Amino acid sequence: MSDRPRAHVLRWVLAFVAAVAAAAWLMAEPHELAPVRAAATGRAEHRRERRSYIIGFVFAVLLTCAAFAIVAWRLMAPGTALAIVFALGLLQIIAHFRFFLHIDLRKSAREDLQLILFSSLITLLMVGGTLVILFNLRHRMM
Amino acid sequence: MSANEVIHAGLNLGATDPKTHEEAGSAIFGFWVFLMTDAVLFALLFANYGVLLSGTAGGPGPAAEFKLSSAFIETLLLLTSSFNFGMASLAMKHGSQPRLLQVWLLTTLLLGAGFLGMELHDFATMLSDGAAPSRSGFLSAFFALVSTHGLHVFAGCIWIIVMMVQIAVFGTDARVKINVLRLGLFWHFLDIIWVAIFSVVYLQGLIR
Repeated sequence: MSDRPRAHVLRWVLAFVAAVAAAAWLMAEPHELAPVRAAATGRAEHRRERRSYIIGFVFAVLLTCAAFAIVAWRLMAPGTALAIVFALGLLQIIAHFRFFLHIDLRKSAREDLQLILFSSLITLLMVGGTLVILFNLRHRMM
Repeated sequence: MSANEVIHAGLNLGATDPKTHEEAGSAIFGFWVFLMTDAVLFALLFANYGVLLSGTAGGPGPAAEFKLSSAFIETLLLLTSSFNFGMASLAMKHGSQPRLLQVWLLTTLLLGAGFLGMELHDFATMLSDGAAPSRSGFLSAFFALVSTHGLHVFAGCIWIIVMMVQIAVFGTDARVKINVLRLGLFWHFLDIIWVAIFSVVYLQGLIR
């Protein structure tokens, strides 16, 4: 992998862009299908919510199977496989948030969404910072 | 504030029970704060695992100890239990009798217990191979991360049993409903953590 670092980086970027695009689609898609909320009676709401759980479950199973299939049957080179597995994992996490925890960018109560986004930011900073510093340290020790 | 308004993250009771819906707002927000602190705990365990991944100290590594098939079955068990909990929440929100809610909770509990059983079996196999937490940095980090998640699932199972008893004793009154909503968030959250675990720990370890 080290002889072609540029292709390696390109693959990561592509996987990341694909994940973000699919995530945006996942977050946005139900609004166009959702009926006007004031008109939704109890039964229609029940059906709509059950459909949301079923869609989420199908998404999650498909993404899980894809990730395991890539590893089980060695469908691609290790570097690419890792990038795709992480992208699929990220997508699945977003699908869980969207369909099981019912969080999306428009409907959610504002402070809840802010809490989640802020926690994600701290998490990213802490995990990213830890990895960067400690890998740098290991590199210097070698 | 209208009953149709979404006032907290997660499934809202809405117009099916407007009074409890109003009460749930602050109760659920507090629980989200807890969930996010828990997410920070797991994030740091993940960072720890990432750093120690290559520190096998000549002991068994990921490829030797992880089994793809059991990780896959565990994933499906936990995923299906998460879906079942969604069905339980809907039965509570829209159903008229608690019987259906109890059935969905029971299946969720059984799937969760199945997950725990498989995980303990995996741990026992690893320990008998000499892959104990004290063997290397990698194994310490692995057991810290995965068994913390396992302990959470165990706590979730106990909580499901407690809720089944509460539903049987009190029926679905406001307090019970809010507790089930909280438990639902917790259970779905654990499934999200597991997605990160199977991607980062098992799949990354088994890529060749």
